[in-house]
Amino acid sequence: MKHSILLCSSNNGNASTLRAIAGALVALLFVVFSGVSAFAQKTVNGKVINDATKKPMPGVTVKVKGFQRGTITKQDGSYSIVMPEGATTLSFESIGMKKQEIAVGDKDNIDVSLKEDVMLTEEVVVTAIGVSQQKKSLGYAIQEVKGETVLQARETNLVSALASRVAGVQITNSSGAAGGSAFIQIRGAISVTGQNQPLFVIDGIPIDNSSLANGNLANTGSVAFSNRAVDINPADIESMSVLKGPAATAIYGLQAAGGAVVITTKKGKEGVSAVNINFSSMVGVDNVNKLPELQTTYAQGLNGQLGTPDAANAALRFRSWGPRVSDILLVDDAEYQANWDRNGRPVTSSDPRFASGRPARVYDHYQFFQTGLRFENNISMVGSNQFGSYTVSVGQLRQNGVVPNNTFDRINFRVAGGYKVSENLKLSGSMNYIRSGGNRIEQGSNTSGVMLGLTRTPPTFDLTNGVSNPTTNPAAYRLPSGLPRSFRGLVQVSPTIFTSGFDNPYWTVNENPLRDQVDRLITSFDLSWQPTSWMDVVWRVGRDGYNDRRQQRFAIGSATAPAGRVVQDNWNVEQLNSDILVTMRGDFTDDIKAELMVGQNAFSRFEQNVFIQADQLAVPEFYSINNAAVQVPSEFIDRIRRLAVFGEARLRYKELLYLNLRARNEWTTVLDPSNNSFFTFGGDVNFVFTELMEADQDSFLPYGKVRLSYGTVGNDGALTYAANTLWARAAFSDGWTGTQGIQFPFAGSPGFTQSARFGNPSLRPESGASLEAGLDLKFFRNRLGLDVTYYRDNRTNLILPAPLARSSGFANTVLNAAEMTNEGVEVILNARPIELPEAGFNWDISVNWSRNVNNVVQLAPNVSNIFLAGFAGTSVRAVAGQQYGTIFGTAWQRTTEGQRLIEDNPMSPNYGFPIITTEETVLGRVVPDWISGIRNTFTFQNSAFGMLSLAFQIDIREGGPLGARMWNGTVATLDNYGTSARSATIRERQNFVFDGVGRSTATRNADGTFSGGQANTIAISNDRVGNLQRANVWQNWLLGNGGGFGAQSVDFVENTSWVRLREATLTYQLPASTFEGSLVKSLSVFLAGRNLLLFTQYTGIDPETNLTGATNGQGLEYYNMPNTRSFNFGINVGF
Amino acid sequence: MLAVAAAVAVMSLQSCALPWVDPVINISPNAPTDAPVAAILPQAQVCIGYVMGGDVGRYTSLVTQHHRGVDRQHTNLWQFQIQEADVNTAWNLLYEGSMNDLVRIIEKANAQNLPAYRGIARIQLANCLGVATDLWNNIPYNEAFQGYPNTSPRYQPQEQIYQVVQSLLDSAIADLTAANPGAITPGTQQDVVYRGNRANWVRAAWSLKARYALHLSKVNAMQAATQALAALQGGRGINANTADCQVPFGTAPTENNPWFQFMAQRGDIRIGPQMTRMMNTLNDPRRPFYSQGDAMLTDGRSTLGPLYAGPASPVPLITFVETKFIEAEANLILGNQAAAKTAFTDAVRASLQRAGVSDANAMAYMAQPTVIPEGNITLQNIIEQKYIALYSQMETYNDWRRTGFPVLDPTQVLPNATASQIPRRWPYPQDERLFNANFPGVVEITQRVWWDRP
Repeated sequence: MKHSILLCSSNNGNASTLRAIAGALVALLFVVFSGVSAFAQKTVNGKVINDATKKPMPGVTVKVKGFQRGTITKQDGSYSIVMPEGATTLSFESIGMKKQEIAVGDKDNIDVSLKEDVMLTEEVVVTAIGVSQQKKSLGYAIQEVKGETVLQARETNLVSALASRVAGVQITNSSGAAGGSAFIQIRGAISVTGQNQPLFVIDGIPIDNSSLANGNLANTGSVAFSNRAVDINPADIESMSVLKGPAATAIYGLQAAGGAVVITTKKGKEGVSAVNINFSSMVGVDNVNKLPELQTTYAQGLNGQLGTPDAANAALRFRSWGPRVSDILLVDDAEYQANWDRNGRPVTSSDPRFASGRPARVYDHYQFFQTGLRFENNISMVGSNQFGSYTVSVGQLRQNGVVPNNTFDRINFRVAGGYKVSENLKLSGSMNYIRSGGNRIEQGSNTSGVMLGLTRTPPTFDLTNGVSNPTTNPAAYRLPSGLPRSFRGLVQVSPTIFTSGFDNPYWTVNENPLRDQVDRLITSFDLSWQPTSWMDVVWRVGRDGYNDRRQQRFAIGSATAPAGRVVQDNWNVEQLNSDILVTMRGDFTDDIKAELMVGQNAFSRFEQNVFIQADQLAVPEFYSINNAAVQVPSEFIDRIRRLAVFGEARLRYKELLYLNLRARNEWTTVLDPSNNSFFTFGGDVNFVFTELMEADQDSFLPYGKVRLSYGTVGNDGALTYAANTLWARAAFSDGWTGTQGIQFPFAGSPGFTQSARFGNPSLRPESGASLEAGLDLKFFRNRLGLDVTYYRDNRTNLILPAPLARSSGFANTVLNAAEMTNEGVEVILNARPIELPEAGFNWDISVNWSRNVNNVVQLAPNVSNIFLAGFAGTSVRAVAGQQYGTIFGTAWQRTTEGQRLIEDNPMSPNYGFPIITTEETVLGRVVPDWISGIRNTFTFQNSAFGMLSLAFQIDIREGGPLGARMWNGTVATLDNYGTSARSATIRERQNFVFDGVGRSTATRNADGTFSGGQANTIAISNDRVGNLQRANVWQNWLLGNGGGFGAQSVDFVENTSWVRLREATLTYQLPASTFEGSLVKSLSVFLAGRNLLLFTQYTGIDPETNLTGATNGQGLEYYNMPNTRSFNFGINVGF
Repeated sequence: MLAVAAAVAVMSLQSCALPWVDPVINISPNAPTDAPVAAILPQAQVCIGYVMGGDVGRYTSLVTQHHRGVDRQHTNLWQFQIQEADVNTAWNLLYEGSMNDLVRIIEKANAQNLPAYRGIARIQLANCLGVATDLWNNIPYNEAFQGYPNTSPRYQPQEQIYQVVQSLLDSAIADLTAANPGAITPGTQQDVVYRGNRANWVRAAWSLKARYALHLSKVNAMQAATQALAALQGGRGINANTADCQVPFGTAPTENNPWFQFMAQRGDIRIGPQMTRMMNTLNDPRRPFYSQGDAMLTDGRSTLGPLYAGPASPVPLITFVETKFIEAEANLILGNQAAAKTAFTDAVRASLQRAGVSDANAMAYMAQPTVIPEGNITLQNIIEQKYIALYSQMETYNDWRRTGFPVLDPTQVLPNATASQIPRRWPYPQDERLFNANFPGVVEITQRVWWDRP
């Protein structure tokens, strides 16, 4: 056979290789059709019943052993099958039942009764490349999540739906914004700046899960973009397998360096004549679940003086350090009310109008948030007969976020089918068209960001301007002059341009939207052929392609682009994947069986971004790049191709011992041809020791196995074009003008700069190895199951852009330099504490617990830490000797005993306050010590009542003394603005003494450190520090180092440890008897809550968010969009 | 049998890898591997202008109280808190953004024999080195700009850097006056500063030589003054406002002046106490040009104006006005009172003209004895007028460190602050501390650079 499929063309390029593959396919078909021939045959009939209930069993797979021939039992449990020449044995299999094999002999009629498989020893899971294998044969950890469990999470994003459900998997949503991304990481970080998220595979086709962003859209501001797995409709999913370690993912090679999530979609079951139509509909309401607490006592102003937006003295209006609200009154002032606030002008007693004033109010800015709504409808039709099956499904999602005008829409249209051309040839294919996108709102560190404008606004400034419909009424956010209305008033920066500093959030949601639309088509084609009884050949080719069109708008007057801006940002991504798998089976003896799989994989990825930033709009409110005074286009193309050959040998001795060995060689275009070949190998062994004990289902320990696996891994780093030092079109800004800066061409002159990246032509593959050991135990007829895994993973020569001192003339060079290890334990416990068969009641508990300890062993020569995301002053970094993802910033200076040093020189302006260090250090780590998910399910079922089930999922994240930390940049800077709740408390402190020791009392050591010292006793009150009279001490403290713009960030690194009720679902399914004789076959309704309760000491928004979305830079909060809790109601009807 | 088949299969597939895994795939379609000098020069030039009108100009102008930080991070920078991470960008734009490209232009010009390009690149490189050493004292040069693996360039003493600056300027003057300027010379589009006018570049080089000579006035005043005057002899420095060495910016948002961009994006600074007090006291007619049209300035409230912070305002690197002030100061040091006064008067007049002040208003202003004394002028007269004339420019920070003028009041910044708290240099950037193995160690910002003798 090898001549047909393995030949290849020597021509260059994509097209020629596809041609070669197509040629091979034609040859294969020829062999298939010429090879079909007739043998002497006989027919066997019979009936299959359930051993316990004695009822007939439809849908049982009946197979001729050693042949690719099979059938399915009918509704009455009967079957009929033709036995080919040489066939001796029939096997009977059904999910949840013990498999039976029966020698046919000369019998024509065989009746079978199948017993329930309490131990689930026949449980089948989907492993790499969509190969289904018995779980008991696997020597590595794999965890499957059923489609219905995924669906029960009621998440738009299927990545979020995995949260707390799988041991060793950590999920972080970027925010509660509709369409926002979610970050997933399995068993810790394995790359310094590259891909740390797993590969997503649908029905054998790798799909793209990027969160693409470029230009000003990639910064810490902008909007929450989606990760592209959001395009997958959770309703289409039959199951998801999480492949955690290199042993499980070895067959995927480079792409799955961070694990894999293998998704199987719902399909018809070939062989059974049936048509099932299912309709489901859901409506959900979302609300913001947690917000930072704001103060309501003090008005806009500074130094206790009142500020108003129209005042000439800008410094007075920027903050909420004004008088008490109770000390101001509102008075009538026609001009002020026409422009700034319809409620009236706030004045203090120094104003002559004060006597006629009415009490001032504080406004609840959080009324800005609305109740989000989600509508989801899915209809699917699944049909099958003996020749094949088909599935058609349509899904529609509409989500309105908790922020006004934030929407996300998704439409999925999917067709899949399979056709049995002959007994040994099957063709199948699928097509999934997705359109998704929405209206996204500016967030984060962005002067148009919603949370920034909202929470920095003084409590006495009415963002709505007294109108009842501020979301739609421009009077809330526009002055009569057309300029923006915000508490900061206006600053003139040129004769024609004014800026408000921050946008009123109502302005942002109306005037600065970003709209995106993705059109995506995922197609696959499968050919599966069994040329002989001992060989299967599968060829699967798939394409995932999409176009993402984005337009960002900034109206004239917006804080971010006062002259107006429109950005056109188009992405084109195409991935092609081809797998050829040849599986050969042989039985050496009755007890020793073997399988050999060899395969080939070809993969290519093309990504193109065309980005046009157009500034200074000529016609207001008209958004086209044609309408701008200046347009700067740019283009970026990224290309990768890889090719691999691989093999896996599976040996099995009885049900006792399983040995799997695998090897793979892969070539990549990312590295130089002299160094672009990777060889990896591995194996696992699986020992079911209970087989030796001849344990039966009723013994104390009926099932137990130990497993051990080892595998080497490689990676190419996916950093393209790193070999040469290039010359880039010049553009620069200075961090303050990050959204603008200078871009060439400049006044008609082109400008090129030597790339900041110094080329390195001698990169070689990353390498690594992973060891995993596990124990699976099942007790008491499977009422209790325990699965424990230990792993240790070491990756060396990691490719990373190593930062350079800029005095070298360059910012970085790509090196094979880093080393990282991950070591961890995963525990899965399943139990059924209560089982009352007579009452039809069960209580199931499923617990997962995992701990991963990462160690960044080294980074690069002279480089002990690398910036991942954040700001000057506070950032998330990889630091050598620490776990990946540390928060880096400035701390208080401490003595060797850990006491803060307090300035005790009475002449110092810092007298009585703690002293900061000048160098930034590690302040905490982002990853938790451990995470756990606990799921309880109560099911009550009987034939008259139907089924009622209640499931709830608890999610625990524990940080320990330094872990699960997050930088709360929001509340930190709100302290500075005087709007945080604690800023009201702090400013009232009297006789406050900072913990620490006086600087002059401590001993200065030779190495510059301090030791000892006497406890600080300097008491600080407002207006007085020691002997010095100073006004507004606490205000100045928070405006300085005590607040978020100060020079220290250690006070704002907070513990995010949490316990949350992630999900609670109540489902009622009507009894089958209700529908006898009707068109409807089943009906169920559910009420589900998501993210219902959260217990955490974190003072910001829900810490399960991240400023920079689904990126390696986790652990940052800076005016992130808040997270949500939701209640969902739905109905599911089967026809 | 199976194993043999598999082995054959694997081997035959190996040869397949070659056409599919084509090395051409990994050649960047986005950026070329080389660029001509004509395409490099404009970017290096604009980058210098951007950093001088950006972080360098802004942070130093907070120290000199040209400006006051009124919000967010700029309040802290204003209150003498310049942290190591704050100065990364300025260092990066100078070393990686400008100087690295200038060094490449010089290398290419050497290879292709292009003296005109080389001369301009040398002048701008000297200017960048001068700026960097005045901010950071000892800095890398000889071992810099080499990429990997020479990633830890050694820091050289400021004294050596000053010698490098002077010698780069000398060789630049030779390049730009050479009989053969090279097969290609920078024209209007390639030289955004002087539009290809090599004579003006030579003038700028002499003015820069004078500036960096005079910077050493605390080291050896007589020598500094002598060398500065030698550079300017025969009026060969910049000789008119129209010949100022400055980086133009444009009205298009992607070409805007950095001060303007900062004010439009952040707006966190205003005209500061020292500037406000001096200009209001002298009834300075430049106030409406320096601010948004304010006849009287208000500390912390007056916003930056069109002369330096308009959308298309150029950022000065060295000007005729500064040249005249250098001439005045050098003459004063050498005891040439008459020449000093003439140059000083020329400098003030040129500054008023440059700002757009009417002749009548200029005359009235200059007639004030508080501006130009009737008798002898003093160093304080010169430096205080230079402080007003060189508003927003880093050179005023150098002048304050050299001469102590104008006398800055630290309590304008913090109630109990003392003069010793005013920063006299910048901290080294965080990236150098983290990634340069030859990093010289953390410094306090109250430490002095080599030429800033106590």
